[in-house]
Amino acid sequence: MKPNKILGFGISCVLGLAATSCSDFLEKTPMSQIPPEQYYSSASQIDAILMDNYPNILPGHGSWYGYFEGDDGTDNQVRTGGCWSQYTTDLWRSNNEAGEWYFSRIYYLNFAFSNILTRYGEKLDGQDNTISGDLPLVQHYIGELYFLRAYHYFTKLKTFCDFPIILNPFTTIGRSFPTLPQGSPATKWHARFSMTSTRPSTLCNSQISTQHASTETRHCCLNPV
Amino acid sequence: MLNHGKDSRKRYNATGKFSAKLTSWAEFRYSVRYVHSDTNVPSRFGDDWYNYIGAQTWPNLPIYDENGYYYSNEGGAPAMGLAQGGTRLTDRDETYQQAGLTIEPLKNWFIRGEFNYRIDQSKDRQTRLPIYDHYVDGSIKDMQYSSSLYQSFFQNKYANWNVYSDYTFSIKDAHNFKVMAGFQSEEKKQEYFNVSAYGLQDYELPELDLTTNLQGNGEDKAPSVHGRRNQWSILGFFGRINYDYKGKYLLEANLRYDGSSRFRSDRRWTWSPSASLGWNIAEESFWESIHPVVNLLKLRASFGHLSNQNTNDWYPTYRTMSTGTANGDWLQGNKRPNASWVNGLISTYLTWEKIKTWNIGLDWGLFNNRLTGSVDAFIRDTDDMLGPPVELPNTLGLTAPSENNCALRTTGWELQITWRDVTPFGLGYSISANISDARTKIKAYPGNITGDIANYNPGHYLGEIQGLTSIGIAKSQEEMDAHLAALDRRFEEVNGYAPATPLQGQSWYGTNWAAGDMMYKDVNGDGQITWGDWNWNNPGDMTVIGNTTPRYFFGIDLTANYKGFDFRAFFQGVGKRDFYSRSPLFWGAFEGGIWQSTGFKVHEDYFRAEDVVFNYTDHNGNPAQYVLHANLDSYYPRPLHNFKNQEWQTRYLQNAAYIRCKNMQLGYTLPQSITGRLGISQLRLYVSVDNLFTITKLSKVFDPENVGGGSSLGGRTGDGNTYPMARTWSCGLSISI
Repeated sequence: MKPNKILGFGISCVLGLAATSCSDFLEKTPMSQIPPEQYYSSASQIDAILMDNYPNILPGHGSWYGYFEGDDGTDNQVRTGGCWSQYTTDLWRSNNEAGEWYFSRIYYLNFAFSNILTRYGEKLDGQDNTISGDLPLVQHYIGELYFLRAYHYFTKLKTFCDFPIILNPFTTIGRSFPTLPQGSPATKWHARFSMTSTRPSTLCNSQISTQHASTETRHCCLNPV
Repeated sequence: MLNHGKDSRKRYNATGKFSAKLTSWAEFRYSVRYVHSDTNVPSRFGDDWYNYIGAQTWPNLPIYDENGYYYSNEGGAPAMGLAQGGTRLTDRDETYQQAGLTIEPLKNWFIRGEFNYRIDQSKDRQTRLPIYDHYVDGSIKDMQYSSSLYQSFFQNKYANWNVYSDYTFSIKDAHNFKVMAGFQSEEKKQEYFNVSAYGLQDYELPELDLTTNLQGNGEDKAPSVHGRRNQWSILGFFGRINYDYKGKYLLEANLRYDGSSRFRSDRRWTWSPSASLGWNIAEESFWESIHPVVNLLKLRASFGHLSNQNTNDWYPTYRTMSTGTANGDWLQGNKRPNASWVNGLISTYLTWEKIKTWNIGLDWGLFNNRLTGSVDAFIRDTDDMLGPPVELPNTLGLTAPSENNCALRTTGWELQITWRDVTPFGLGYSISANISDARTKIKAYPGNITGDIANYNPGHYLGEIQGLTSIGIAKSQEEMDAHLAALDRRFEEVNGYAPATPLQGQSWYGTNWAAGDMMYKDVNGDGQITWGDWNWNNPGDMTVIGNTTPRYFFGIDLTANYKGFDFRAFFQGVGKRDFYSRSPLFWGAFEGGIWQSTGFKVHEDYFRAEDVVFNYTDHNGNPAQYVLHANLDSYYPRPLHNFKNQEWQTRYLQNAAYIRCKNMQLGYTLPQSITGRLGISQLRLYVSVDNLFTITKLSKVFDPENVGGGSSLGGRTGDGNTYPMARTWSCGLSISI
């Protein structure tokens, strides 16, 4: 190759690279992970979301006391390793952040709803549904999600009585944090709760013998708390 | 310590270089370097190995049983795992290629293009074999452990372009200019996958095709397969102007514009200007009379703006889902279902950290450059630093993502002095020393809402250690009670009434205070030992007791040569550093319980009011005794499995300052008159030793050089449980032909 050609080749390489660089070169999106905007689009994916959530309302097996670990930190027993910040002289102090105060499960469910319901559409009978998979199954799964959220709020209601209810999750954080959604007081809560609970009973399909077991689940779906 | 199992590494290198002057105005260069290595280590020799060696090798734990078989204590003792637990072979190939083209279209105008390409790929093949203990009769105690084979492939490709042009010119032989402009890009792509299969049919032939998919207990286990790809790139444009007037006044100005794929398009680019000024005082005419003594004196000052991505995350601004196979916890039809969830919140507003540096310096050369040196002082402000966000209500549901919301200021200085001379009788020698110091103050850290004193607090320095002030170990119950009674009296003075229960002044930290326990000082004088609200508004009796930041780094380099002999000694050290460890490697008795506790020789120095007698049967079957005598003046308190005596406190604060002879070398180069006849241009014999000796006050358990490393078993910094630096003796022969 003559020097002039090498020079020309070199310069065209450089220019070509520079031209494509600025626009595309720095646009690198995750290659091996699904963004949430693409997920929640098939019945089996919604199933996977349910499978992440169910174990959190079912009694679990801890590593020391097994099933009875649920009694840790109560007047029945301390936990291994102690609860020394909770038991003080003449006083049983409750946690001020962990445990019942967690909103993470409600967040996960709300986040799933915000993605699923856009795909399912406004119409309850699923006319506008774009989620792939058997429609009755999709409906049933959505019903189970409603049940799960209602269950979490019901637990909070039992523990705290009045409790903020949040139905819209944050998605991404931009320049600054927007104002957090304010919780509604309990009175509104009851109204909202009974309103949402009409939906699962419509959606839950008693004809589907769900592989998620349990008659209890279906019972809860059909006869919301 | 590691004399079980095989540990080997082989490395091969090959390098090739080629350059061609294509025409009078163009030159092409190409070089390639290839490195291959084979590493073979026991598969159980993982990252946690050093962490647990203290806990798992108690003096009473044998390596072999009475029949001569390895004894693993059901997997707890490490030696058998190293010897028989399988091996990990890593086969790694690295190729570096570099091509460059330099064109000179006009005199002193260069266009330079450079392309670097690196491929780094490695294959792992790891077997994990079951290890079993034996019964007294020699039969195997079958615990039904599984065997497995893990294979992985990892490839990293890195491409880097540097294209720039520079032009040097002078005006009237006084104003010298150099201008440069160019661009630079980096791109990295990564690919990874691995397979694990279970049930090896033959331990000598570990192959994926020869696995049974059965676990040790006979149950099925399907192979697991994982894989992922990643990519990342940055692009930068830069320009520079150098100007000097007769070599006396120097100016350099830089401007960079960088973009990263890690940030979103509207927050991707950052400008980084910098400038420096220099004044060569020794070149001035008024200096002429002093010039014979001070032949170089140069004053420098600079201000620069740098940007830093400060993340190892490939895509810190993209939200993703966690999806898995058979990872659900609620069995469906006797199988684990798939479960998935959305990952944590991210901020699309993340961007570069900005670093501003001011620097001032002086270079000198005296007595015909025999005494040279430089001194520098700098201030570095890091703004827009990544840190946790302000605390948000729990109703958010997830942890809020990190933001560019913190700021730091680092101040420091550096001094370097060298004396180099040759004596009239031919002994050449040099003494070189440098010392530097830097400390960093936190300017803003909004993430620490509650003012947690263990977290970052504005106005405080990085690395602070907070703790109680220790009075000492109580030698008797009376001494402890007298201390507690004094606390009670103080309580009454302050409050006007006696405490409800007497002698409870230290009960914040524990109960049953007795002989051998710590007595803590009531720093804030309220009659109780507490940490208050654990913030600096009310720290109770906590104060800043030390700082882990290494200060006054120094190095001393001595060299001498005489008639073919050469000698070099290099010392390094740290002038001031504190270290605190809550790990069982330091304390022996672990606060978390007996099983992580460690029994090194130093731990024998614990408090005991009476002799401790161990009765045992010796090798001849005769009863024998080992006595640990009473130790009232002990270093360690009585061994308890709780924190009360191990609280962060002044008594156990370690002084980690040190000086270490890092390298000492003696060599002899054969005279040219002899070697020249053999066609050898240089032949040198040498003996060298690394880490010859260390002077430090630090506990013998730790190595002062890597004391900040290691994992944390209940500590805030590294617990120092890394493997100490090895002393290495080497001798060799280097020949150049």
